[in-house]
Amino acid sequence: MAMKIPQQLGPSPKLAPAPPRVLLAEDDDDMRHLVADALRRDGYFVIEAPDGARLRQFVDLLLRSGQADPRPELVITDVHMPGLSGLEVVEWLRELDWLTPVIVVTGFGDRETRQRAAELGVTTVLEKPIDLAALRRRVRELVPPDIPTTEDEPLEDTGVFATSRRSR
Amino acid sequence: MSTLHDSANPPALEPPLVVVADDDDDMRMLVAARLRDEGYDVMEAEDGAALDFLVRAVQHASWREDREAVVLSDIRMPGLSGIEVLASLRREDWRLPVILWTGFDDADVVRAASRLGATALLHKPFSVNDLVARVRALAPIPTE
Repeated sequence: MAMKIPQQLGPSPKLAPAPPRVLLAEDDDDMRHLVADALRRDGYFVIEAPDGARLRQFVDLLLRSGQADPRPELVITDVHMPGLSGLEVVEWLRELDWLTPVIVVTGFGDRETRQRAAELGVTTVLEKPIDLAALRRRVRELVPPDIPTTEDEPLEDTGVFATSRRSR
Repeated sequence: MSTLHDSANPPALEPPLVVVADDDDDMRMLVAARLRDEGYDVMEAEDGAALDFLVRAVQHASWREDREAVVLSDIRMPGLSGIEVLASLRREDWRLPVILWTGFDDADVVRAASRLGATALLHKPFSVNDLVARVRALAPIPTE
């Protein structure tokens, strides 16, 4: 027995261009949610990977497709995560010739990571505790969202996502 | 959406993606196995957090590859409920078709599912054949 709720029938309508996708890999739940929410309000579609396994699963999904360019627009990854270090992910992406911009997040004063990241062509290494405004700015520099936002626009918790501002 | 490929070896048509979310292992594995037999590329989620991740990953793949994708989910699961996950995605203007199911006869649940734009809400126990037919209607397997 089923209740049919009249809605779109057939495949999902492509009504608007897709927002840029950000893959965010971070095992600290609070930090991940904070960053994900901030970037969503900035107009990005954020895919949250809470650990190395989910990150791997995401890349596997894309690899299975055999498409020439399945990558997300940006990867933000913590370096120290259970199951997989953030730099292993970058090595993996480079092996696949994915020139996706990567932002690496590491602990305070971690020189080794900075060095290795530079060797891998990672241009942005941020240290914890994360300066959210700086992260948002850097993300906008690397991947412009659909809608330009004011440079230092504060994030107010109005409880309403700013969908009305988006010209989708 | 076209991609560059070797014209002598055209890529196989990709099957639609399906996410199946249910904390009841038997139910989830039964539905997943059946849909894989039908030719779908199925990913399984055992709780709300896994559902959230997979739906977003599949949405990305769907946009990137212009592949059809369908989400099938129990409404109540540990952690984030299926309804909460879908509500958060709807706020972001996300539009993959979704079929929900529930073991509870609850008017509030039906209303919430309707507001979320669910394609259908099934009451357990339901026919898996019926579910497969609905998935085929939403996302037919491409044929040569």
